[in-house]
Amino acid sequence: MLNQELVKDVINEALTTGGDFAELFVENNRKESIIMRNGVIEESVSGIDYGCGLRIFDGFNCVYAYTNDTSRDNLIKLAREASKALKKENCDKILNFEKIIKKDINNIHKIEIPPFDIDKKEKAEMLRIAHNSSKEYDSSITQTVGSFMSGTQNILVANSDGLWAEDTRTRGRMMAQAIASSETEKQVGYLGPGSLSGFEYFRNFDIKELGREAARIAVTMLNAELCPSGLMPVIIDNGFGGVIFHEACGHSLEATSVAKGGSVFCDKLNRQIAASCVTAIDDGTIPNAWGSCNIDDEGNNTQKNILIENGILKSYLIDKLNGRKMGMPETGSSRRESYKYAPTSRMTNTFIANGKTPAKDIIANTEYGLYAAKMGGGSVEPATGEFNFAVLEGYIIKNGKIAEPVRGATLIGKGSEILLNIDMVGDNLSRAQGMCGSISGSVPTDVGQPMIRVKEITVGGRK
Amino acid sequence: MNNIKDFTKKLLERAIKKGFSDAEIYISGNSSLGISTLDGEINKFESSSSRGLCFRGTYNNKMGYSYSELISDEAIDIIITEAMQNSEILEEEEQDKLFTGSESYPEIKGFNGSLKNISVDEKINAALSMEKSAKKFNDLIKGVDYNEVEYFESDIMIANTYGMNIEYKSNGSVGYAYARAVKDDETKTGMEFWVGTDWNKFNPEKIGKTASEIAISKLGAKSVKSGQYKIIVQNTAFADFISTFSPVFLADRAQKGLSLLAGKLNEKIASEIFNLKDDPLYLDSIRAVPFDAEGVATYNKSIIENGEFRTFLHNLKTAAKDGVKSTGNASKAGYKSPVKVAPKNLYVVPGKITKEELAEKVFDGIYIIELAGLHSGADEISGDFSIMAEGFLIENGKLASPVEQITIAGNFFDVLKNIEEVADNLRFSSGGVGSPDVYIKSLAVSGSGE
Repeated sequence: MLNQELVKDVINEALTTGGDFAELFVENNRKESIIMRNGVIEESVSGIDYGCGLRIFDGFNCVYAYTNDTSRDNLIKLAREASKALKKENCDKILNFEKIIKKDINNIHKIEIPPFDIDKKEKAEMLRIAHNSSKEYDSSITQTVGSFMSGTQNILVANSDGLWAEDTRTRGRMMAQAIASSETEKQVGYLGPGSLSGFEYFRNFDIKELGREAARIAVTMLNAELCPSGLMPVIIDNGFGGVIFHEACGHSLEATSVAKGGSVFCDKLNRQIAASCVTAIDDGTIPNAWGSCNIDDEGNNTQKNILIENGILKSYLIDKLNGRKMGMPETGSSRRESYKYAPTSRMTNTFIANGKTPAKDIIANTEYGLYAAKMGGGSVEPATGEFNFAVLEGYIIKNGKIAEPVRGATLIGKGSEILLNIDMVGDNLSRAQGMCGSISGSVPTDVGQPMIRVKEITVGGRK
Repeated sequence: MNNIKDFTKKLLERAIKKGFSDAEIYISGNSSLGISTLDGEINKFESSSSRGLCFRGTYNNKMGYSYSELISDEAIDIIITEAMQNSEILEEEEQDKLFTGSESYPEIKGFNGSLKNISVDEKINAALSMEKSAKKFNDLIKGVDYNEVEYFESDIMIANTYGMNIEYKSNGSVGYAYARAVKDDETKTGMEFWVGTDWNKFNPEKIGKTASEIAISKLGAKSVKSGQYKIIVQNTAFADFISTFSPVFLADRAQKGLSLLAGKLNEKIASEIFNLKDDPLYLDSIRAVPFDAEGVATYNKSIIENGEFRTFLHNLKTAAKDGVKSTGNASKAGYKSPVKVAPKNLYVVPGKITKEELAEKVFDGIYIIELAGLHSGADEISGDFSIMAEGFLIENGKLASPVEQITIAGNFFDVLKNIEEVADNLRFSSGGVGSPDVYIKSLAVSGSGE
């Protein structure tokens, strides 16, 4: 994307005031998105994101600058101005970026059909299939929204250690949303599967089922009673249920909050932070998974990180800058939305591993509680671990059986407490796709878990 | 800027040659400088400059869109080809139409030259003193995890083949501190910010101190017993709440059946004392603009007046459909996005009494200062919400002990009707919506307290 001579000159310029490390990230990202509402294609937008970001380290400090004018003059000027921000008066050491080692990348995510080779009409047709299938499910489905998006991101990471790494990431995602209405109520159901794959992912996909399932959730919730509130046992099912672990624990294990002492899990390595039935993993190497990459945005290979093993904290997620502060090696976890963000430690595909209890036994062993079949979104305050999540599809459990559906439930609590309160972990692990927002922007991540039971959670409802 | 003018001309001419019947280019540029400090040292220094263009034009009676951050001749063919292909699959009968221009535009000054001249050192010093002031406030403040001062500039240009050629430039600055208080096993955080265009109004010591004050005041918080409570929602929290449900006021949502306000124009939808306005020319907000994303001149308007619903917000397309005039609320989420509708400076009109007097009126209840998880705990279509909240008990008309781990639940449309009174302390939240403190007659609160 940029020639080696220019990259070298920019990095050298960036180090003239005494910085000890400089890195240039360049990207060209072709993206497209198509949106259908109520069976009508309303939006189709595509284009090119293009630009580069420069980081300079001086010990624990970091200067970041980005631009999308990549002319030689502008980049050298950018590097010079950024380097001045270090405000070093005496600079005795100047690094020189001489040796470039081209990184050999082992591509474990095969792409068969580049999405841009496929006519937009075929993509629009997929949305129509999902729409029709939602509408056919039930007459109370009054509206649908479907969207398709794909992106092909070419990146280059070069740094003053001599790294030169190039990679291409091709992703696609489809979302189906169905809205069921009665005279007084509207309820929403949605699903959004995606993959680090080419268009082949969608050709092998049951799109009809996607539309039907979104409709089923909406209709079920339309007919549901308001959820009772208070402290109660909560069973959270697999797939997107893992969002609780992601938000309430995963973010607090990112070096972004650990390095500055802002996480409840600081200084807890090798100590018990979860019930012994809990093992949690962040794995950026799962072939073609939505949150995977060959290399992270610092050019390190992604890896499988065991975060919690049988309740014991084993690892944080660490990027280069925070690794320096913590005195720990990187874990292949450095990510960014685009060149507009400096990268930092983020999750990839994060999930609670399978346990031993068959899912059906978890329900059978629960006298009374809330069963969250599908979770909605939520958020967490990393310093305190306080979280809140909406339940998309919920049911009351009575006498070990799933009883009537309930709507409007919210789960609130503290991540550190909920981890210790998990008393059963099922055997039906699955993952689901989401976009995770944090200081380095919005990045694709998988969440996941088998069915779990938490002894008690505060359920916010309207009854 | 000169080569951008050349590029614009070239792109529009090429589009017409390729078969577009009209074409428009929207270019937005942003630059910023952000400085963070940690423990008295600069730990982050971030500068940026970027520019992106959105192209749109009518091709076979459909409005095709595309965008690019590569603004160079090599991108012209991709931009035009993508826009053509995008137009081909569109199916809506009513398509966006390009605008020929308003007769006149309000003259507002969103660019403050003296703000631009604030030196990097002054910004660094402000960040340092903000952090220092937060830290020294109390020994229980164990960190100021985010402490940043930022300057930003943006410009917008719209030019089309009907001869429209307008531009606007603005700048602003933000300072915020995020303090962490720790006592025994309990951690609480507090955030305070300033945003504006007049550097003299920025008091970094005060921002730092207030962030710490908030964090400390939350220590020792407990949940409450579930039940119905009288509630005051603090100005910025209520602003975020209104912002979450603001899509109900948008004409495009109503026309698609996604707003329960459809068909309720001029009906009473809120308490009589409640007034909601959208004023894109309100200069105390950094979002002020003289024209919207379609180039329509903007103006001040009432959405809810004395409890009655006066108007939806419109762009050209939704206005044509309803047989009214655009309210100048065409909006783009970013330069890439197609034209939609959005409020520009939405705010709840303040009342006459102070926030202390408001608390006395409530006498016993809960004062909510923060709402968390609005994006997931609120259904903007049904109006239902169940949101995690933090704040203080109101006892004998005064703020008392802190409250945490509760949710407030209800329905947005019921809340509008249940507003008893609003205070005089209008403030815009970081999300760009403004409100004073608002007293709600009754809300369901769940908590684990006894």
